[in-house]
Amino acid sequence: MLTAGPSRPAGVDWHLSGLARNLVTLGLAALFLAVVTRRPEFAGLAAPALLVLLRRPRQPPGEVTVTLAQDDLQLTEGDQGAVLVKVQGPAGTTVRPRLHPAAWITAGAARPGADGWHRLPFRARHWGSRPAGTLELILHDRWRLMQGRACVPLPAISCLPRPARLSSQVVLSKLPARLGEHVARMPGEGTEFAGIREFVPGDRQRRINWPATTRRGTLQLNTFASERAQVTVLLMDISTDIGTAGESTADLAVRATIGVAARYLAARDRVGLICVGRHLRWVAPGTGRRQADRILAMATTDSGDGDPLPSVTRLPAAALPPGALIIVVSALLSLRLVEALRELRERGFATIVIDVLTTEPDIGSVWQRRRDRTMARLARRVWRMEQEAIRFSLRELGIPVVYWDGRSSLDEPLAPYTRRKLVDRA
Amino acid sequence: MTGPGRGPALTAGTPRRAPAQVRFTAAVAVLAAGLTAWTALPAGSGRAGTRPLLVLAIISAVLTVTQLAASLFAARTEVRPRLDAAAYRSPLATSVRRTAAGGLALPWPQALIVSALALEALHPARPWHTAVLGAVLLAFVLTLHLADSGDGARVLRPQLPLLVAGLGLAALSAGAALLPPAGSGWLAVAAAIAAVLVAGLAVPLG
Repeated sequence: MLTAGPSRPAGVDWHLSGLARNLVTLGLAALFLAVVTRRPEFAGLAAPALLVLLRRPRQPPGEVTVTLAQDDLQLTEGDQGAVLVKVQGPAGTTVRPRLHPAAWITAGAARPGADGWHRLPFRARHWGSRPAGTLELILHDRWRLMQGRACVPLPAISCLPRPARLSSQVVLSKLPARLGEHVARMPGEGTEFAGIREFVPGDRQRRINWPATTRRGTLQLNTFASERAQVTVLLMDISTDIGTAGESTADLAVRATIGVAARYLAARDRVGLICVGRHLRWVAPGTGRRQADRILAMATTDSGDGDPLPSVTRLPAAALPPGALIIVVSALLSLRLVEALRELRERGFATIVIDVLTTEPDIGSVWQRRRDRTMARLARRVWRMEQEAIRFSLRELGIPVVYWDGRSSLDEPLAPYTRRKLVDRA
Repeated sequence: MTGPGRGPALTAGTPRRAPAQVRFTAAVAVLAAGLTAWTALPAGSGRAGTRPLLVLAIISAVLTVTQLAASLFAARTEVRPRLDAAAYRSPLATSVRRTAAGGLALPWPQALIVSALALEALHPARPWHTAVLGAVLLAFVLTLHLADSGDGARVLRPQLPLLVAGLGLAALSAGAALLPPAGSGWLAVAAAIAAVLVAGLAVPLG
């Protein structure tokens, strides 16, 4: 959201316009040639230019009033927003605004709108809260002889990450005793039919299955499965960030985390977040809209709170309730995190890793020496083998590792685990 | 939606339409070509120095239109700044880009105006020819401004009385030059300049 004040003065730097410079050139050159060649028709040729220049206006005012606004209050990566600008100044002056965007947004051409507002469309290509760039105003006086230029820095614009698409869920076979929407194996008070059993005193009479009672001769009762909520803890690893801006491992980790959190919160599950960045920060599991806002705020901002990562020896126990499903979003480049995952598994947590490593070490261009390129290729091969070994060791421990490229839906890599309930064999 | 600022809200000259700007750019190209051809005629009758000036005029005309087309293309294309990692170029590419940008930044329209007038001066005196050149030069300057600023022709309405008066004076001076000389050339030139000054003070403007 644009947080500009209502109006602000902007200093204008006035100078001769291109039209005035051309007219001066035309008039002076024609007069010079008239005098040198003694040909009066050249003096006549200078007449229109000189007449226009004789009407040069008084010194225009040194500042105009600029009002900024934004049409879309909530902006997500890839969405098109617009800065609205209104410039107030002396009568007869025309203005042409132009947005010089920061590196993370793409600007389109300005369009004049109704009531003096100019619309400057832009497209945010990267999430975050950063300055949008600079607004340049080109002003012309009534006679088009003076041209003014004013620059107004635009305030920061907040852009939310584009959440990864996820329409299915990984659900554990054993769920904690909290009311929710996932059908559990235990009989309970849900709506999903589970079976028939014999009536015992104390059972509700409205659940008697009369056709079965007639067939068997004794009172039979319908039973239903209980419905439980799952506790899901997301572990977002942004301690290493490699790749091009906008598609880096940290960007993908944030998008995947936001998408998974939104999906589980929509299913009324309890969702928590552990953020492993420069500091270790966490949000205890919770439900509802406020929890979604807390998770979004923690995933997208680095407040500097929390414990510095080098001083952390293990993940916080308070953020990891027993029986929780741990979904790790990581590039698996931090060996400390890999050790933490092993420890989680030893503590009995069902864990699944979404691998967001989409880039590899660069081996250089073809212009490099052949020996250097060979060594670089060898180093990359060793690096690949190390990464394979890390993922293999996690799978051997019972931690599935799925790869997400950042473009497709998360349903595809998670499909083997969303079709049936994830059995926790700890 | 009005703010508390001083003065009325400033608007663009006229609603900016990209096709109109393209049309103005095409008109500038036609006028620049016509200007160069007109000053070169009649071929072979110019004094020494005509050929280098003609070459300069052609180069100026081409680069004026290129300059305009480049700014039009930049304005119509979405501005997408490169990230730092993608901005590295070889020294050769950098120097070529800098040279091209520096060359396009030179005042080529003014070079075209001066070279066209000088070419006309190098040819034998033909007052009607010079008057037509003046009209074409004025049209070139105004069209160039419209193409550069992206505004419609309506923004030049306040200047219309002055332009009409100026063109009338140009026609008068051309007509006077066609008459047999009554005195020295200096006198005619001084009279023409005085007429311009008087007209500048006399033309009423709203």
